[in-house]
Amino acid sequence: MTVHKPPANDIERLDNLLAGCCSPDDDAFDDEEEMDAAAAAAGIDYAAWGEEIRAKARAHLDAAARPPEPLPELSDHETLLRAEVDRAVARYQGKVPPFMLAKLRELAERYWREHPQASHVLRRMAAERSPAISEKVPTELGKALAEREAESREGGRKT
Amino acid sequence: MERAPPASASEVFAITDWETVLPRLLRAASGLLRVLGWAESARHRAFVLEPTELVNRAIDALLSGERSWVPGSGDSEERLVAFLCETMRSIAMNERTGGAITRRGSDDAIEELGDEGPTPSRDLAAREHLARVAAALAGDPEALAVHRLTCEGHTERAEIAEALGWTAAHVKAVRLRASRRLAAARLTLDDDGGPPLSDR
Repeated sequence: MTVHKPPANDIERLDNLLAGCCSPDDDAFDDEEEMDAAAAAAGIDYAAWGEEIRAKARAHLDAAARPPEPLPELSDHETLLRAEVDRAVARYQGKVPPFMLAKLRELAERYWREHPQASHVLRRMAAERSPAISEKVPTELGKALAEREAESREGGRKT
Repeated sequence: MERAPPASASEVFAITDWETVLPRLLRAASGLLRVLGWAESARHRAFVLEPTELVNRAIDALLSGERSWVPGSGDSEERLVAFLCETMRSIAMNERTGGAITRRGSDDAIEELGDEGPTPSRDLAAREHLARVAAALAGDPEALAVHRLTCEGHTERAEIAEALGWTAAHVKAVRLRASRRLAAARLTLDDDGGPPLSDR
């Protein structure tokens, strides 16, 4: 039996009333027959419904057991953004429910994408890392710079 | 080696005997929705829930993590039913608040309803709702006695039976009568304390 705590106001009285009406005591119907009749009239098949719930639960378990799919290679900007978002929500991991964590991630990502200063900082950080990329994938500007460098190494300007 | 007890909602739900649990949940959902004025055939309001919908929402919310699963809630059928009842109550209350926000449609209302704490207007609305329930039960002194005790926090059948000197079976019969009266009265416990929109 639960410990009785007298209500402090009418809001708590209403909560108590709702708790009393939605409890495992099963007082909304006379007996199983009446309930079964109501369920049958509503077209409820408990066996099928139960199997549906078990299937959903198994699907969740299977999804949780699967190894995470490898992430596609991201650009420097996206990698940095993801790292900042991870850092921002790390302190809430295991302390808030998953839906709240997802919302925090969404807000952090919007901040880093949309706030003028934050997105500027992220672009600067990506730019600092970009030489490594331009070595691998030469751009038009990269090619032109390389040609000029080669020319100057050959001993001066062509006129 | 002994197998560890199921820890998550998915693990518990995958092995639950739903054929036994679902009828109990449906009864509880029906009881709740009758008091909220959302009983069967009350579909004239957009935010009304059907009992089956409420049960499914509670289960889905726990599977998806939208609602937190409390470890140990699946240790027995009693605990599982009690926990799912609590989740359904919470969802129904949120739905009621959401319905009130939609109807009022003002920023002030949203701010006020977003705040969980008691306010004079919330207290007044709750008082009016309780008065409407009491009025619906006025012709049945036994039902009224059970209603008053329930509001004062004696929510379990055994507690009420002890307080009134009745048998548990008699409490069950009186509660059942009250539930049917409420269903017939088509109450509304909307947050603004008014009658259903269709009656205005």
